[in-house]
Amino acid sequence: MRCEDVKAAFVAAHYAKSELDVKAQAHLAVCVSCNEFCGAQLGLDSLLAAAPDATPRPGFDTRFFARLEGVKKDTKHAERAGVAPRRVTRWSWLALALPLTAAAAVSLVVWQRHSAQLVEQARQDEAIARDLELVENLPVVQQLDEVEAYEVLAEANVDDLDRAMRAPDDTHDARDTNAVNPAGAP
Amino acid sequence: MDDPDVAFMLDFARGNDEAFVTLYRSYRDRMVSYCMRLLGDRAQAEEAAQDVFLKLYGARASYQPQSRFSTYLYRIATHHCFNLRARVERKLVARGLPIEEHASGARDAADAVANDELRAALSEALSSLPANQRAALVLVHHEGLSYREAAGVIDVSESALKSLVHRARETLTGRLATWLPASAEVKHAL
Repeated sequence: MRCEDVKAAFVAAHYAKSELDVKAQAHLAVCVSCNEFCGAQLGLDSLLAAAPDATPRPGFDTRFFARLEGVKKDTKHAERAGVAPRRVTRWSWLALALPLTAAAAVSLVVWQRHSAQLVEQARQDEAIARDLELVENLPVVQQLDEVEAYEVLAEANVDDLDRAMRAPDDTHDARDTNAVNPAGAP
Repeated sequence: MDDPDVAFMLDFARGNDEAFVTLYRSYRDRMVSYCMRLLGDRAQAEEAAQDVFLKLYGARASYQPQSRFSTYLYRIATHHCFNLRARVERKLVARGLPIEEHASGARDAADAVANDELRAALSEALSSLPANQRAALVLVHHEGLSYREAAGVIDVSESALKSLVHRARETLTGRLATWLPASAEVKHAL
């Protein structure tokens, strides 16, 4: 019989409270190693007995029945609402955390888009202002009054202009006469 | 099944809350002790034992008597403690802390004040065992379950359970060598 088999048989018989078979007993009688092992096992029993049973500390029952009442209330509430009782597991916090995280993520995306739009708008305004400044500095624009004057001339009646160019003094005098004698008196 | 506790559980399943209180009072201390031996921390063990009874309360509608009631309850407790321990170990690993250091440091203040070196060494040695070896040893050695019952609790075969107990005892013997008596009469055990 092998030593390992004898050792295993010894432990098994120890807890089964049965006798070790004859072969194992014979091996044990002559094998120093197995004898030491079995002796140590008996010693271990006395060591294990040194660990006393733990008794619940005062308040244990109070705490337990308080928790039980909570469970009962949850169960009743769930039955009335027609849903399964709420099970508190280590993943229960996800029920709250996931919607909050999703909401935060959506807010972040919206805020980022809004910020990007604002930045883009500011950039466009700045570009327009820069363009306007450049346009104002153009010589053409600086002579805008003259251009406008030309536009006025372009819209004027050619015959009137021709008449005015031919007799500017008469017109001038007539206007002066009218000014002196507005009623047209001789 | 000739188990009065199964009858209590069935009675509770039919709506008698008094039957639940009876079961609670019968198993309360055993559950606290069992959780204490699996978790190594008194406060955590008390919380875990309460969780076990709350799970039992919640399981009344689905309860099917397939084994002794104690086996059923120990199964709930074992799986719960395995989960708690695994959670603690995951946290320690995530923080880069050694697992054994936490387990030995998990003894409550009363133990530290008592300065019971043997108890401390024993607690440390138990904490060093893998969860299934520890549960197998505690179920068989402390809770007095048969190999078959203990195998049913942690969902392994009977031979696998014997192997777990054997390995657990071997490891403890090595770790507690300095505390073991120099010689013991093997013949007394036979």
